[in-house]
Amino acid sequence: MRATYLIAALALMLCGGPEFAQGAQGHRGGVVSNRRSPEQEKTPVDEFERMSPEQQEKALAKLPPERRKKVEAQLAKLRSLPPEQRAALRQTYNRLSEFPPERQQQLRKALQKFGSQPADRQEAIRQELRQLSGLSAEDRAVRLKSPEFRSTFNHGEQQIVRDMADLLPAR
Amino acid sequence: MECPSKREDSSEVLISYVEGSLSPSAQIAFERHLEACGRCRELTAAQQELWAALDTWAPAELSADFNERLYERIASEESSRPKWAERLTKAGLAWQQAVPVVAACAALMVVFLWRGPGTEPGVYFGEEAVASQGRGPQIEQVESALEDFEMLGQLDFRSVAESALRKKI
Repeated sequence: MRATYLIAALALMLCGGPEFAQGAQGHRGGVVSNRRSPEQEKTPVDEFERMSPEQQEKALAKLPPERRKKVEAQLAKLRSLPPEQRAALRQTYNRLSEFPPERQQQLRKALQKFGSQPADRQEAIRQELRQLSGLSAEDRAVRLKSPEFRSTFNHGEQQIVRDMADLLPAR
Repeated sequence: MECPSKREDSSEVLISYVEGSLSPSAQIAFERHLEACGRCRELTAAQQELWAALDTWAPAELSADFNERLYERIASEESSRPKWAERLTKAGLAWQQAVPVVAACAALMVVFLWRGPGTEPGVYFGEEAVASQGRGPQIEQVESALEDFEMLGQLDFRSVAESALRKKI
């Protein structure tokens, strides 16, 4: 009987096999691969940028005019960024992609909430994130529970900061 | 998005969509496609109807003497069991033991038939897949990633990262 359990366990391991193997090769993902170093330029946008102009045109042609226009504007904006800013964005995107889909959606909602805050509150949140980015994981947790943090931000803002802190590079 | 109804794995996309297991970006892409594609709308509606029907389906109630009749039948089949089966049982190969083996084989078959690289609906194709299949990421995925880039851009993480670097120095 023990042998059959072993076989069943082996089958379960093999069920995860292709995913592990593909992850190790860096070309699998719901959206993008979960196992990838930040330096690797493997976001869908980077893949798109590596396509030939003809292939890009063909892909863009599949979109309705308004969406195509928006994509082209976003691409132009991204291309105009300094390389280091683009790299920082890519790394943050990669960190976002490493979360499970449900958490990714939560983080996107938090980003939307952040975007809907008044400019001065956005800057206050950015300032807090700058401060958090210089702290270790333990110190970040302490800071996020501190009375000072709670008195600086209202409940909604606190949640935005907590969510966005997950996207900060580890120290 | 390439129309799933024209693809070999069309049922996979539709079923995944109806059961809610598509990735968020693939779901958005498919919903956008649904707005424009009547054929896919029809197929999706049919699939949803099927699921709804299955949800409302209730098994027939068992008769009061079901267990009694079942045990009687088992007993009668036991007595008429072929000798080779008895020998196998004596050799330690009871059917209960065979179940995990059969289940394992079935799981393996399902996994390898169902999950070839790059065959998952709406997935992002990496470099190797691009080279082998001659296609890049789906444009909806690029679109979705650009939306993410735009949202993340408002955080200005570069200045955040620079700030962290300055503190390190």
